[in-house]
Amino acid sequence: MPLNPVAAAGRKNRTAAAVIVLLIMTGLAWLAHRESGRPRVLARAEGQVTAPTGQAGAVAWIEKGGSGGDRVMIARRWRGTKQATSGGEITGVALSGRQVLVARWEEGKGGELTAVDLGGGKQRAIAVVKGRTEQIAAADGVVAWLEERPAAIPAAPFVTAAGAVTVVRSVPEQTGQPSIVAVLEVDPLAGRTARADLLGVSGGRIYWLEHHGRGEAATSVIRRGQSTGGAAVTVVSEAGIQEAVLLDGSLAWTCDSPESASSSYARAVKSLSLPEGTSTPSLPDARGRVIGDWLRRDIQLFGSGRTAYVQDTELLWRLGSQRGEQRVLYSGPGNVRTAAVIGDEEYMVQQEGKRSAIAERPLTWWARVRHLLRG
Amino acid sequence: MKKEVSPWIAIVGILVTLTVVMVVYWQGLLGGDKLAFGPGDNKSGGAAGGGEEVEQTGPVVTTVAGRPQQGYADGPAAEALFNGPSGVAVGRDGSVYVADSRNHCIRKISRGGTVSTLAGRNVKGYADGSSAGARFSAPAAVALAPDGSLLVADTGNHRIRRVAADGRVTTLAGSETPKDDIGRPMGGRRDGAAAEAQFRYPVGLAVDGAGAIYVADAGNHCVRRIASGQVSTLAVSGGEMDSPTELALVGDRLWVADTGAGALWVGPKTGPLARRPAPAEKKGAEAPGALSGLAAIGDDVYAADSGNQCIYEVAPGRLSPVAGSVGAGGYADGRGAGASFSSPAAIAAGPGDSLYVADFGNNCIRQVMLEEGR
Repeated sequence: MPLNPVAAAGRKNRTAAAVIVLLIMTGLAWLAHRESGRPRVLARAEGQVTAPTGQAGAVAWIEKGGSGGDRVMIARRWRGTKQATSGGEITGVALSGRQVLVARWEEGKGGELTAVDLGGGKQRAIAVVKGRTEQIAAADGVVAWLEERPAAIPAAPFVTAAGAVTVVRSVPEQTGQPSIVAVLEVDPLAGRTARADLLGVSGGRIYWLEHHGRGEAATSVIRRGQSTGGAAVTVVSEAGIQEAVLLDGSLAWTCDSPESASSSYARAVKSLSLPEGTSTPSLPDARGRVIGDWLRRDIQLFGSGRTAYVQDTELLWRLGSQRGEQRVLYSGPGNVRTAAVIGDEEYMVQQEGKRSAIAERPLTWWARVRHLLRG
Repeated sequence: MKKEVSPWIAIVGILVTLTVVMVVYWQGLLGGDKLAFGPGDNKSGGAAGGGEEVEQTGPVVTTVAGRPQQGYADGPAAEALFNGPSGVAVGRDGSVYVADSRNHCIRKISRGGTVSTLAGRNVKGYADGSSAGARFSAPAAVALAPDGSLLVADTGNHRIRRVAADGRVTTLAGSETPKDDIGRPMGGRRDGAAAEAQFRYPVGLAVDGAGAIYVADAGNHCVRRIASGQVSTLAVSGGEMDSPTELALVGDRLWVADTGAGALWVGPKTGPLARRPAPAEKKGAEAPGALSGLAAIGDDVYAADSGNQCIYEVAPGRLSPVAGSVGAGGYADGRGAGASFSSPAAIAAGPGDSLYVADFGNNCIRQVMLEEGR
């Protein structure tokens, strides 16, 4: 059958186009592969940079000790890095949609929580804070934070009535009155003010990790409370929890390895799907499943989206939903450690004398391509 | 060209090598642990660190009730659990009373060694009433009144309570005060009729023979006196108190431990009280860490130091450690500096030249037998 010259030319063009696309894809893949281990510096700063926080596509951090005082910086995908707000002592920051939430503190006067619009820089006070606030989280229209109230008689920690407390508070993000979610007594001899870590907000509930006791008697529990107040519920109670993260639909936490003969040798990471509404005071069967095991004692746990990550001094691992799915993302000398994992990027902070630098490193192929295109 | 070795030379060589290895082994030259010992080291169990064994001297310290584990359990003394004992008093019959602050109740250790809950339960609150129905909030001190009743510094409720022998609880002084934004009573400062008066974190108590009560009002930085149903504030001279936490009567003189200032205040029991020169300013004296407890045996005054983790004898211008290793907290029974405490919060004089210690950080009650150290 004779070949139609027009059809033949079209086929040639399509073949050529396919080859070009294939070449571009191969080139991108190769470049992305080459790019894989290279952190990209987002900003350099005078003074100290705190651990970044944020959501996919936007990251915020605090720069402290610079010549112009404290300031909040924000880096948005494709939009570069800019200052969101500055002034006073800034102690906490969180991102929620198009707002950055900022905690300020002045010794002797107290402080406030403000929401700063990312577009116009407009500020609006959302709550007065009576204690120093370093941990803020926001989701589902709820802002939650931890306030540290110091001991009334600091010289006498045995006067427990006057002891330090950590207050879990919340407020609707748009407008409303702040609520007290829980008041946590601080171990008077623990030597640390904050004995709780705010994990985040999910489904209108606030999750936090509490540490109790010292030494061998130390225990930790993950609890949650309604943003409108009421009795808090224990979600996870297990010895040896050091860190925990709230993921989309689940919790993950570090604990002693169940397989190691010596509990002090190796660590494991467990995960538990977020239990749905319950009025029971505790969920004793909530033991969680192991998603990572035989990890080093000094691991740090991070979470982003539905995924948990751990880093030891040499390796950054991505954990799966089951034991055995853990995968090394990067290995190398541990002089620059992970500070956060947000979206599909790893963020690192490095202090060099009085200066700091914050850098991001892609964790997925698409993130590598993005890095390439942004130069 | 290959040269053959005689089998005899090989056998002798092996034997010599084995002999050398055995000699080296028996001389202890192999193995890092043995090298760590020097000549004259006591290998039969000396002090930690491989040093010479030192025989400890001084008063004998034992655990009377509880163990280094926080909790709430009555029963035989060794099995009972406390949570932050911060006040202690000894009755005429030898019973020991404990302000179990983080359990929000008053415990009793009978002479037979049984621990029971005298008033309140492991629930925070404020309520007068029967032994089981009464509620306290982090009580920090107890003292026995001449009529045999027990007085309690109910610190979190900013009140002074009285516990009758049957455990019935009434409020002796103090009134309701406004609450802060997280629901805690803030306390106040008001002299006058006992029922109307206000305190802010009362944490220490002493009672004289006439029944007058002295209160270390830590949050108000002063000492209050309750007599004939009236509350008054004792005057001070030579400065201001920081955080008075414990009191002791020595004859007609009142001693006050000021934890915040690391100082002692002494004066007539109706005031004014004067600050004693800090012992640390004097040559050879111990520097107080956080004086938190006071007790008198005759004219001898003893102080618990929750910062330095020890018990001192207070002599003019000097603090002499009698029990506990200065600056080193822990849990160990033993003699003198061989014993250790963790934030000893209060002490009380007991029978037979002894002191009872509320060992806050170890969650137990300890006894120091002074006469056995003399």
